[in-house]
Amino acid sequence: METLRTVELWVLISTPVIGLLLACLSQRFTSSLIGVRGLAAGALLSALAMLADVTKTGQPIEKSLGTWLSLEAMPRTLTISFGVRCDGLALLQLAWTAVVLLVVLARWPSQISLRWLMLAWVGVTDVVTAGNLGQLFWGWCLSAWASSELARRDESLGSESPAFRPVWLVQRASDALLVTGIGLVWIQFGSLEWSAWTTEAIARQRPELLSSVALCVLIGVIGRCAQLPLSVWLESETGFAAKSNRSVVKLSDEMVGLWNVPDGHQVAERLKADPAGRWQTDDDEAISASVMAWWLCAAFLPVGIGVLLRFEPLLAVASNTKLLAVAVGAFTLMLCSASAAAQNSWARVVGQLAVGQCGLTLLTMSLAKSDNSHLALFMLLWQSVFFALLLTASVGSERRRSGGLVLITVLLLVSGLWGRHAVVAVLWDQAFPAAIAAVSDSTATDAIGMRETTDGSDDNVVLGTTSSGLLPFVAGLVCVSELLLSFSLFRAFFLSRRQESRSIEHSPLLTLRVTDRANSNAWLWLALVGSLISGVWLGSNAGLWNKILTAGDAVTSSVASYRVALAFGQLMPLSAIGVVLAWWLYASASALPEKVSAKLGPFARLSRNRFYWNDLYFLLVSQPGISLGRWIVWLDEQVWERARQAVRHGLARFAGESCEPLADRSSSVYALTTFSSTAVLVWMLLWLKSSS
Amino acid sequence: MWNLYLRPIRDQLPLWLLLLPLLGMVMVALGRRFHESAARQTLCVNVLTSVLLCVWLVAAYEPLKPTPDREQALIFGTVDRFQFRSSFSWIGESRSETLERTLPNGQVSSLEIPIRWGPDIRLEVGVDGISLWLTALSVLLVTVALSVECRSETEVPAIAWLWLEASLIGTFVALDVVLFSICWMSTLLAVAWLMGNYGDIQRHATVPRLMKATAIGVWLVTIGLCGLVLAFGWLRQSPNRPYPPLIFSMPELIAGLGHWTAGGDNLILWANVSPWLFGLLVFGFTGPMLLAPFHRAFVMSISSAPPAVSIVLVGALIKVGLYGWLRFIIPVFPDLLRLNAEFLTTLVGISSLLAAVLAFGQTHWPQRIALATTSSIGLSLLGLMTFTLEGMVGAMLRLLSHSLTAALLLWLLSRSSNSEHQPEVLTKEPHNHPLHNRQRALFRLALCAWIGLPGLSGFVAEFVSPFGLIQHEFNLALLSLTTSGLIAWMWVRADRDEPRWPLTPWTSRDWSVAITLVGLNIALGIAPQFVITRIEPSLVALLPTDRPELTAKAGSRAVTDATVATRK
Repeated sequence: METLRTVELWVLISTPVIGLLLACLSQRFTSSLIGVRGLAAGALLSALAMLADVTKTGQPIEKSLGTWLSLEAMPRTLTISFGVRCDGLALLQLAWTAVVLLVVLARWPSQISLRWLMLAWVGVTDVVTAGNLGQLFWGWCLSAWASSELARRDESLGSESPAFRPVWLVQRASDALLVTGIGLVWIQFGSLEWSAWTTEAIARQRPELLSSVALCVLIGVIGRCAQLPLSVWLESETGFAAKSNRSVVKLSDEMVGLWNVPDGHQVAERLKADPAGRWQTDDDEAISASVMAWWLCAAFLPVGIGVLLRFEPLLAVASNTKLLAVAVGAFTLMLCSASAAAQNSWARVVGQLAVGQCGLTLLTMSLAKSDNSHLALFMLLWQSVFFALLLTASVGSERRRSGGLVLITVLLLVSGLWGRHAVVAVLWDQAFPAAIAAVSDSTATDAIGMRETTDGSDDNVVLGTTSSGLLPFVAGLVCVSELLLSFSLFRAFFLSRRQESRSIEHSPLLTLRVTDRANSNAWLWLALVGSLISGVWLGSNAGLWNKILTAGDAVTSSVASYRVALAFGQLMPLSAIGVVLAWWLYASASALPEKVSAKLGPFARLSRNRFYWNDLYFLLVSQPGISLGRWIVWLDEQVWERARQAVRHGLARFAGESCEPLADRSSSVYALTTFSSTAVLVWMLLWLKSSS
Repeated sequence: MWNLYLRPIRDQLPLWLLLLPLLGMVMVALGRRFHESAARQTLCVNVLTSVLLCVWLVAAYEPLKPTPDREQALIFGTVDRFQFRSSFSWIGESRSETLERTLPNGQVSSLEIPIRWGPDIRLEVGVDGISLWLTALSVLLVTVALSVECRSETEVPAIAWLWLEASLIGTFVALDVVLFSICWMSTLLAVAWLMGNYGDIQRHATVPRLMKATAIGVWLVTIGLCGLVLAFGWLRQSPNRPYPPLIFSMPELIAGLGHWTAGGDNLILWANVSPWLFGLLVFGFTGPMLLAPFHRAFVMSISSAPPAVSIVLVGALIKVGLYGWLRFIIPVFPDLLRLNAEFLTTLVGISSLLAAVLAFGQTHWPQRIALATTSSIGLSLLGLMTFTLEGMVGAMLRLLSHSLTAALLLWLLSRSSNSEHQPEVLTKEPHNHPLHNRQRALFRLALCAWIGLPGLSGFVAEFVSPFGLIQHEFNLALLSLTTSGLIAWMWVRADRDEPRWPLTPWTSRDWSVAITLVGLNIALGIAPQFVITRIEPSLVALLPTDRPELTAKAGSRAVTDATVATRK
């Protein structure tokens, strides 16, 4: 048994490294993809086997691999060991990463190197199984860097992708904040090991310092998970403001959408003539949908939330930080859902929705009830697979044959079965405890699998009191975003179908850049069925799900009472309204979009596209930064340098002929300086000696 | 054979490293009488032998080697910090000296040690954990620079390069104050000669500016060090002994000042003198680093110097100031440094940030590298000023990483600048030619290493430094991280203006240089402990011993209660 466990562990940690080595050394490995699929499948099976083992024993599997860095001369040692610590949460994340990898590989574009993907996989494995905070940071940076490089490696574009720099920079900002948080943890606890965070040790620390740590980590996670205000990337050349001769005044005009303005509007007419305003396929995107799927569903969002879960003991005592997390999550959810409703490609729609749902996860985790994290994680993981499926199915030459898969995935997402309704029920309970207590009876709560009473007396650390007005507001935002989610997904579905039919009419033989690979749909179906079965099993078995997550003390403590994740909630009617609205607006002939847009006016413009935030960043941050840099260079070269020269010449003129070497740059000045300064020093030392 | 031939070399490796280039100068001069190729071959053999000796030195250095003599351990610490010491009489007169030590129980024990009367100036060399790496870096960078020089068919200024190599090695291995100053000045002169003869059309303006900025620093340092020697002599004055000998040996001087300024009869004198000496050394060592806003001379020099000289200038020469801080200012003036730490760190932090902002606005690669170097050196200095082990180790790692990365970048740029003379080749080159891809990959690796991405050399420094800075002052850590972030942003922006790579096939020399620099960059990122193990004891010895918990582990300065007095 022990031997088997060792083999599983080595398979789990060595498969990404082997993948990286093979990707670097073997051309055949990168071209056929069979080997890398085998490695991903091996990692998945090992993770599942170990997960069963860890859940059964309740103990994590740990192995030390050596010391990377050690400074032991001081009382507070700084030691970073490389090792593996596989608890329930880590193994679950690894299994999910392998699943997303298999999905992504089903349509991986041939022009993007597998090396960076494999390196990113190594980084994700490292951060998830980190034995200490130092190793966690190592993996955090590695996964972010390698994943960002995937954007640059699109050689067919002939130049660097415009999305590369923004995502890269935001990830670096996130790294800086996380390392600051880790530094503060080290200062406070004297160690980077997980074992240093005992309840007693936390209780001994000053609350404001713990808040600082929590704030740094939270901002790091916000950057990693693309939450507001870091939801879009700095300085995008494809954005409006990066083009020449543009200004803030014209920005609002540029944001007017194709469908949101009545005919005859001068801006709308111009946009209609612009092919960029129509539904886009993956070929037109700066970032491949497969890369986007890897970012959103494996390397960025789940990793960020996973790290936040690791820091939960510290976050639990930082109420202000949690309040910030609630606000960030709520606004990200709302704005991204609204933005998704106006995007022109699957990659952008799903990207916005995935980030928005991550906001919902953040929001849920930050509320006080202890089982929220479990529900939120279930929602994040299962929805991630569905988002990855949607993104992957929408690219490649086989996308026309993936209509059924896309429809089923959209339906699964819209249904909200996979944790979203359970999460919303939690929020609802906390927002309106009195109303729930009065209206709901035991039958109603049993129907959605609630096992705990909703007496409204939960310790709401975040908001101080349950009567706070923020929670109902948050609940309202969640309701609106639920409607927007179903609307966006079905709108995208209808528009993409319309585009596909037009493409077939006009050009039956589409020239696609993405390499066809046999049986790629089979992998997607396999992933869909697998995630469905596992979701139904674990989602309806709250005890097992709770046991998996708490195995090896991944999350602080096991909760006594918990909810079933797989549940229908009260928001189903809103989802249905969203679907009907999308069908009415985009599947049947209707002039309603123009009318609605004319009524909404500026609000329609605001929700136009995600580059709105890019442009705002560019105008408010990037452009001033660049201008400041150039201005300081000018100041340095023209003012400072000239002033120095003027002073030097002036001094020489003032001192007379004897000091002309100063201006003439003669070496005799050195002799003069040396002689005089030596004389002064000797005199000064003698004087000091005599005076003392 | 070991005892007869190899051991004498091993025991005096720094001396051999210093003598080898000097010997090479003679050999090259003789070789040139026959043919230019003979001179080149002699140069190659000489440089490669230096590299081998350097590898041997790094491998043979024992970071935790105990001090052989118990009595010496009381003065210098329990760890033999300065190893491979060679000492030869130069100026002065030998005589034995009796040192008295007052034990805690009141008893007085005496120790006879050989000491020199008059100006005790010696030709003394040796290395500790700090100078070990700087010496190795100097040899490596001169080798890389010579590989650039040897690309052209024209005559290589071999003698000047060997002179520069010997001076650089001498600066770092010198254990005598006078020898150190001479070697440093000699380094500047060698660089000035190379720049003045082989630089571009701007050299007539840039060389005097660079010399002025750095030579004034060297003179200030020389004066400050002489003052330090004088002050140490006066500190040991007593009625029985009005004229104690002047000690120029760095280990003895620093250790002696550490003991004598902790307690004694002449502390009032030290209190009056030390601020002046501190000021001289701070200005003297910081000036040649050419931090912003006094960076113009450095930026102009990097732009107009030959690529090979730029490599040495950026990688090694500008870091002598940091070495001086580690060698003199931190161990001799810990109290003054801590007193002024807030002011100095703020200035240096702002200077680094300013350099980063200036680099952001540049469009030429050499100027970007020069300004990013200035910023990086400022951050290293910031780490040293924290007086924490993490900050100091981070600073040293940043220094090493920066040298390796900057050397790789400048080496690659030197290839692209060579190609400017072949425009017809450039216009025909395909975008995805393997040569193109190879050079682009190396270029991006160098940028990533500078930025500090995992697995590369810069990551270790970027990771360790904040731990020291946060301990010292949280705002300083934020300032440092902001500067690093700005530099990272600058490199990512600059990556868009990728240089145009030539299609010149790589020679075996090019492959050797590229593999060495890339390998060292990756090795430092993956296995930094090899370097840290050798640096750590030397840095611990620099830390103040006033924290009781520190003394328990520090070891090298364990004996703090011993009062040493000299007697005629």
